[in-house]
Amino acid sequence: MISFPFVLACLILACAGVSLVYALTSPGDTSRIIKESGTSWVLMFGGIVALAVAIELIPKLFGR
Amino acid sequence: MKLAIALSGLIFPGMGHALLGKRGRAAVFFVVLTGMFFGGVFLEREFYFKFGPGMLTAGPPETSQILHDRRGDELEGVVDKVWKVIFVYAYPFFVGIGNYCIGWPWTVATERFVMYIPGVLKPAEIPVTTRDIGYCFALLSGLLNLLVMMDAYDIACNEEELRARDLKKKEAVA
Repeated sequence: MISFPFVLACLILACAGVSLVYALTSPGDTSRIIKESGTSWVLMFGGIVALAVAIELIPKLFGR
Repeated sequence: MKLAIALSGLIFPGMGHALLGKRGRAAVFFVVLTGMFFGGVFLEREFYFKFGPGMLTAGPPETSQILHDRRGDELEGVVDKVWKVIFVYAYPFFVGIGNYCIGWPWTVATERFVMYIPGVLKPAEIPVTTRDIGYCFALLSGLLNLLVMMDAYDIACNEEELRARDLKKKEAVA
C-alpha cells in the first residue's frame, strides 16, 4: 500500500512546481515572485486539502 | 521570429526565455519542468507504452499485449482515440521533444530504483495510485510548458516596453 507521507510529499512538490512557474510567468521583481509563489502555494495546497476534507466530511454529515 | 522564440520551448522547457536573455528564469523553468517530467516517468513505468503504436487499431501490438490485457477495454471510445492521437503526436512537443526523447533512457536506467518508492515491493507491482501520480506529474509538466511558451511569446512581443519600464525603475531608484 502506498504511504501517506509519500503522497503528501508528491502533493507538496507538485504545488511548489506549479506555483513557482506561475509566479515566474507573471511580471515582477524578485520579492514579488517570492511573495506570489508563496501565496499561490498556500492557496493551492490549502484548497486541495480543504477539498479533500470536504469530500470526506460531506458523506458523514449527510449520513451516507 | 517572435513566434520561433516562443516555439523553441518545444525543444526544451525554458529555451524561449534563454534566447530572450532571461537565463535565470529559463534555468528555473528547465529544472522544474524537466524534474517534474522525469519524476513523472519514473513513477509511471508504463508511460511510454501507455498509448503505444497501433493506437487506432482494435488489436494491440504484440509488445504491449500484456498491458492491453490488464487494461481491458479501457480507452476505446471516439474521444479516447482522439486523445490518444493528441497524446502521441502533440504531447512530446508540449513537454519538450528533447526531454521526451531523454525520458525513455532515463526510465530504463532508473528501473532498479523503483523499489525505493514507499509501498512498492516488486517492480511489476507498482500501485495504481503511484502510477497515477506519475502520470499527473508528466502531464502537468507539459501543460506548464505551454504556459511558459506563452509567457516567452508575451515577453518577445513587449520587449521594448519592458526594457523602457526597467529603465524607468532604475532611474527612479537612482
